Amino acid sequence: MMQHLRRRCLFLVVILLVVPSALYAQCGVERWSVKTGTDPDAGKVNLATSTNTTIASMRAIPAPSPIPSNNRVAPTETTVWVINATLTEFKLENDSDYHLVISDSSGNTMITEIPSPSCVGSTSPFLSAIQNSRAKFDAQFTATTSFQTANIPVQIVGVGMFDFLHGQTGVAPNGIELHPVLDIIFNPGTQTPDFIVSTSPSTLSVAQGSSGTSKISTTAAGGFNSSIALSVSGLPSGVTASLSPTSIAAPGNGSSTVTFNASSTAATGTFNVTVTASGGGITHTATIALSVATAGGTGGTTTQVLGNPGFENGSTMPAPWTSTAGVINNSASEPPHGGSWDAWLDGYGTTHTDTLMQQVSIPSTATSASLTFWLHIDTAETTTTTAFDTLAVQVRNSSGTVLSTLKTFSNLNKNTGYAQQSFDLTSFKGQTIQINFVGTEDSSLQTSFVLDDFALNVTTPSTTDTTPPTTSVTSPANGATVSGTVNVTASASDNVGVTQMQLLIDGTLVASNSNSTSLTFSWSTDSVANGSHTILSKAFDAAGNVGTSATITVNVSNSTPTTTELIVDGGFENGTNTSPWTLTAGVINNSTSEPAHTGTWDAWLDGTGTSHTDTAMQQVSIPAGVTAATLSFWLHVDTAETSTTSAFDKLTIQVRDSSGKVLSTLATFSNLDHATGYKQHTYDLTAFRGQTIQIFFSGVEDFELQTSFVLDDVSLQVTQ
Amino acid sequence: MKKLTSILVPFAMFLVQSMAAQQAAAPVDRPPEPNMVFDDDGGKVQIVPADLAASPQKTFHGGAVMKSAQQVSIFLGSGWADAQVGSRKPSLADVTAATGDLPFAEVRSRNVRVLRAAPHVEDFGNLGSRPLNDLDIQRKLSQMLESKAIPAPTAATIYVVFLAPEASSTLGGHSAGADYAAYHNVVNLEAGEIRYVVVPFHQDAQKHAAATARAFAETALNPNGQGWF
Repeated sequence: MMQHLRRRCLFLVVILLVVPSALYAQCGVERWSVKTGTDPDAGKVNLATSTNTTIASMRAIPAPSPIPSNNRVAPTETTVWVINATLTEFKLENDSDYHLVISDSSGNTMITEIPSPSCVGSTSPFLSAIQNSRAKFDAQFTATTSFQTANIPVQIVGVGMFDFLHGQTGVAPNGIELHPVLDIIFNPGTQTPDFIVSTSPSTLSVAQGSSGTSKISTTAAGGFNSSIALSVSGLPSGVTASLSPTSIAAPGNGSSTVTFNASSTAATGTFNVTVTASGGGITHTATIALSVATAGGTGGTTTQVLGNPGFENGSTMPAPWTSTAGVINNSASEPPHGGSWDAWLDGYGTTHTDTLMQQVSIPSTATSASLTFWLHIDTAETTTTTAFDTLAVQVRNSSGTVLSTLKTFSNLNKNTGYAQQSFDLTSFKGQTIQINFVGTEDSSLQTSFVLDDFALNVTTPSTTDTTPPTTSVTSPANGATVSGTVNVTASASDNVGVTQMQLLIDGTLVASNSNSTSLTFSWSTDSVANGSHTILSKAFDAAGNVGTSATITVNVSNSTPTTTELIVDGGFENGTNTSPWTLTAGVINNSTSEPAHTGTWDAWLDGTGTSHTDTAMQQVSIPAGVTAATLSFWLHVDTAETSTTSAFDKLTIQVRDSSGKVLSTLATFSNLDHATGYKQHTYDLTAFRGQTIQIFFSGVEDFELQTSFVLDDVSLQVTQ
Repeated sequence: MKKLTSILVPFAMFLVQSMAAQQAAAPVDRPPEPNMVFDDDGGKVQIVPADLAASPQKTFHGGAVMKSAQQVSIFLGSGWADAQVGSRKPSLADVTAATGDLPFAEVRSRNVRVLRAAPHVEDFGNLGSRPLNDLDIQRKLSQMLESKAIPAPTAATIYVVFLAPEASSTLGGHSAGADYAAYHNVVNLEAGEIRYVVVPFHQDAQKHAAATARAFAETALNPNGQGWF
């Protein structure tokens, strides 16, 4: 016992150490439904058969284009593949996947991935197999967020999936992966043959007096070769199940249909029905969450209302549970039904009481409320007649007054493994209640009551919000004349809640937000033509209703901007009559060696192949009242330099004041910028409004290998 | 004896905190290429380093380069509602205009046409206290596309996600501020291939804009991880 408790404490420490990263664990986004089996085509995957293949064969399959984001590419993505290979390295990704790189003897690699079961929707036909493969991997390795080398033979069973190429480690050239992995066998030559069992759908709703079906599939692996017998347990009262067929023939690949018939008086609520598959000395189970609704009531919505139902938030954050000390547990002495944590009441062997409680509200509109949980009891008591240690399951009101004791378990109910318990709480609808457990132990011989994987499924009639939000443009006023920048404001309201607002000007979306009842957009009316423009707002709610405001019409009236060119003879077409340019000798050019961008003339700086400097300058005054000033020019650079790394010859473009003092260096080009033809360059000189400045080009060449900087069509346009 | 558990819980909590501190400094896997890291689902992502150090000479890796690029800015987080913080929005929302020609000279030299920025989108909802990783960003973009809160992508669209000051950003175990000033990535959703830049808030407005411009330019030149980098 002492040893168990020490181990228990050690496990607690170990698990706590990984809590920080687990707190932030997330699920993926890209093709996530396909990767986990919640896509519309998941049912097309033939789980009853598997196909042996190789990494090389999988890599040779042409990648589809495009890859559908929420559908499967048959047959590759509807086939269960079996690959024998070497697991070379693995890693826990932040999307909670185990990223496994497998390799063949030629060094070909591909990726296989085991998603976290918590990231797999309950409707996935792969869920139980993923849980199984994840557990088997955990039993062999501990994946962390860094790659670890394994180099171990494996047989991997999984569904094909084409991933997008993002440079993933080990990715096949065509992006093919086995994703999800349904089974993994380490050192397959030495492993016991095994099989996997899955259900589809794994959640099913039937109304009283009607029936529903689910498909059970088994897949053999590791040389398994036996028939598999199927059975169903955990049915609520008034519901029967029939299997067709009742077993899967050897070697163990196949499927069966289970039909649930609910009588008109069947118990309502949601129940976890267990499918047991046994063959070759091996037993596996899968579950189907069966919801039974009142006649005609399957259209309702079922919601699980308990928080932290599997205690997976750990002992540091048990909320919304409250418990006595030491109840929230992750030791191996009392392993959980699912996940890593459970609630272990008592087990001391001394006089002791443990409690566990969570308060919930059951809506008054509930048509059913079903409490289920898994309970394991072990004891050192030897009596077969006396209940020395007890666990009371109570419903209390919010003040703690016991409203009902649903059942009292004791040491006489000891069992191997877990058994699911179910209670109908529909009679407590409209109340806030406490689900309360009291474990009482006497003075000797321990009894442990271990609880896990709770669910309180509440079904309420479907309600449809058909009322759209209302919204209006509150500013500017209808018919207003506006100019410059104006705030456009809209407001909205809804009977449930506004999820999104939009503002549209002339039918074009200009602004939106989420979960707000007001929206403001700063509209620069300078960007539209003078005249009439329309504004309206839209508001959306969660049900998809859309409200549209009345259309506001405003008159935009801005003074028309005028653009003025300040550079004189920007194209150098006055030829040798260069004023007002100031140029060094030989710059003005009309030779065909360096043809102009347009016209006949240009300014050719440098190109001598010796130490040399050419300049070109024009002085201009930018009026203080301009709203924009833009300098542009066309530049061609050619060079005899061969370096691709060193700027030997340079052209600098500067803004100087009227005294020649450098105010700003706009750019520097060099022999490295050489190119065929001209390129236009543009700079904002608005900051220099109100100043007289010099636009100054300076070309400096070193002692050898010419570089020519050829300017043309220089322009400085100002807008007022 | 079971009560040993309650004694060891505080001790374990201490170890958790110690481990968390150690984890902060723990090495994180990185691919060999400069300024590349692994993202949250195992792909490679190009980052703008936190110190904005210049990139090595770019080489071409045979993959796609965008033909044209248009900025669609998304301001995320309640901090953007603050007037002082919000005053940056106009310049950030059109970074090609705000930072001048220089950051985009190489983009244009590769024959990528830089289009005028599209109207920006705001979502001032509370981002919560947990650090936002790249999966959060992808999920947010997916939601905004589904709700039509942001325009559907064109071949030129680069969504630029500006995080408010209160939001901390992580990427495959790397942290904004310490490891990167911005990054760009691609995700394939129902709406198609989504190229996006994530820019955590930077106290220095000039560096904020410079990181944005560089990530935007690198997206245009290396949208899928096999272009110029």
